[in-house]
Amino acid sequence: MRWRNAGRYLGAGEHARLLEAGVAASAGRTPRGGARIGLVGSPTADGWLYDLIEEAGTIVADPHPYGLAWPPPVPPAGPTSLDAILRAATCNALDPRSLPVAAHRRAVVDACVAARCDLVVFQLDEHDDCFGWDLPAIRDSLEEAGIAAVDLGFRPGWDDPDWREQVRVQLRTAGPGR
Amino acid sequence: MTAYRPLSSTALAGTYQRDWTKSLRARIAGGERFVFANADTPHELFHAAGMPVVANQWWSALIAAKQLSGHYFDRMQELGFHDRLARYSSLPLIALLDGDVSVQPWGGLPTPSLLCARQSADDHQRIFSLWAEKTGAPLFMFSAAGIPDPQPDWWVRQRHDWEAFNGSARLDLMVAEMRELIALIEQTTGRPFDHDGFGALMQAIHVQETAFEEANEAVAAAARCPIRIAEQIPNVMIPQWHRGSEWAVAHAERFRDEVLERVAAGDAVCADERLRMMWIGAGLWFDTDFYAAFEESHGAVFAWSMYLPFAADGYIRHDKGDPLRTLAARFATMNEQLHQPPWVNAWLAHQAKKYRIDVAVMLVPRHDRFSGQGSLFARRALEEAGVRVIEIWADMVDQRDWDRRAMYDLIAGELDRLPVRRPA
Repeated sequence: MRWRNAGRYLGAGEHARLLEAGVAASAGRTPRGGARIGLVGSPTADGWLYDLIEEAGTIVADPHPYGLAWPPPVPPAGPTSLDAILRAATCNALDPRSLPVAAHRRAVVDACVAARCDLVVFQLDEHDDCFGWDLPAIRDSLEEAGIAAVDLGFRPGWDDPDWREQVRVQLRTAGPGR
Repeated sequence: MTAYRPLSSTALAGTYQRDWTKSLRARIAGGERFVFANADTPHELFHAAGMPVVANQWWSALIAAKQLSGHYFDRMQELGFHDRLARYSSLPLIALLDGDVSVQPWGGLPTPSLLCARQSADDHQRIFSLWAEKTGAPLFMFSAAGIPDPQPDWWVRQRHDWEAFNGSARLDLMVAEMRELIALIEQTTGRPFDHDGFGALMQAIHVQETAFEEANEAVAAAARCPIRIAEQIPNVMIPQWHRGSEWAVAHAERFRDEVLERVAAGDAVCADERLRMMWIGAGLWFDTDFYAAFEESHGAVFAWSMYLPFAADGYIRHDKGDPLRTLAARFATMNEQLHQPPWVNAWLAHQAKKYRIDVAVMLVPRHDRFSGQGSLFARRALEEAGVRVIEIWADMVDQRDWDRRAMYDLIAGELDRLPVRRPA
């Protein structure tokens, strides 16, 4: 997420250079143990939340729209460019406000399946008014795909020690095969 | 204190709506197709096509009025939806997902043939998409195009100058989308859309809303408030759900005439009216008796709720020869006028002055964010206009969080601290 999100603030060339350097530097690293985790729900850029969840494994998928190019790449300028931009902007399937809703659910589940997640963690911003409508269907689809899920509920707006402990307990008891 | 005498119009409206709803299932069985739609969509198109319309917010209010919302919101959480999602706009959905129509008011709703909403809040598309998945009915979503330079006095400009107020591009978009909807309606009903009939309907609606405006002016100008808002609301909103029909126009005129008679006779909700209040926000649908709770104890009467004045300001759009574009002007910013600054705050302050309001009780729902997001702007505008504002954080349809005694004490405590006017 942090690598991807950096693209919101860096120039494209600088972002690409840093990504390539990062990928090269990580090529020889040994994979960390624990669960392959998908982080879904309200978009978040909180590093402390990622660190907390990665105490139980590695986040291998975080399908939400933060850090994605917006609007997505569109054809070169021309008479259809405006339509193409508008279509692309409204069809970002990872945006929980996008339509059709089935595409959003499918995009989230597909990302977790493609990343071979064995645990998906749901978390929500306290003001969520969109993702929550898709949450039961996404959880059902993950279950059908044999992927365990844990719902952390509403995350605090800051790093809260009590919530941390609660999350650790949930992650310990909710992992795959438990 | 003289006992309050209800309007005869109120019972007539309630009976009409109950019979209409109960007959819906038989009408559907007879081949009619009905639409389930959000309130801020152009029902006029469905009416003109002869399609019955059930408004999401009305059905939600009715479920709450029948004291069923607690049951359904418990079900909502059992179904896996978290408890901070919108409630007013989702209560009918939960009743649908629950599946037991026998629990629903008046035998429940049949399956709609068409769904319609406007993207005036992020979650409307989610809620209505779930409706579409469950029922198989096609969903039509209207865009909600923003206005970059909103002028506060929308209620003035929208009457005649609506082309400039909304901007031609936004009206073009709304008209184009309405043409798409008309095609969908024709496909659903199997009949061509009657454009002449639609034009006549729009004229009838103008007559209806003008009758409401006359009633509104009379209530506002009366020395003492002549009717309770608990009676204003059904007498306005039930005809609004059938707007332009022969019954709706006749009822609006009947209601207006009854109001004018009361004003002429000097009738008052409170003979010793000492404080005039406005109820800001949607109705408190599960406890509408609450509006009358301060009449005897404080001589405080709720003179204003949005439904009657909005029938005039929100609906009257003078036709410039194109009924479809006129309709677009009615709906291009409808919901935003009631909830978003600078429109909501300017309008409420204007209304408070017009109605000589002393106190505003502001219902702020925690979980219907669109309904609550302009509240603090409204509060400031009202306070600047000299109105005492009392916030009550509660939901318009979720009775589980409502503590009537505590809310009474909160408001009564504030009223006790106010200087009191002499009876009129």
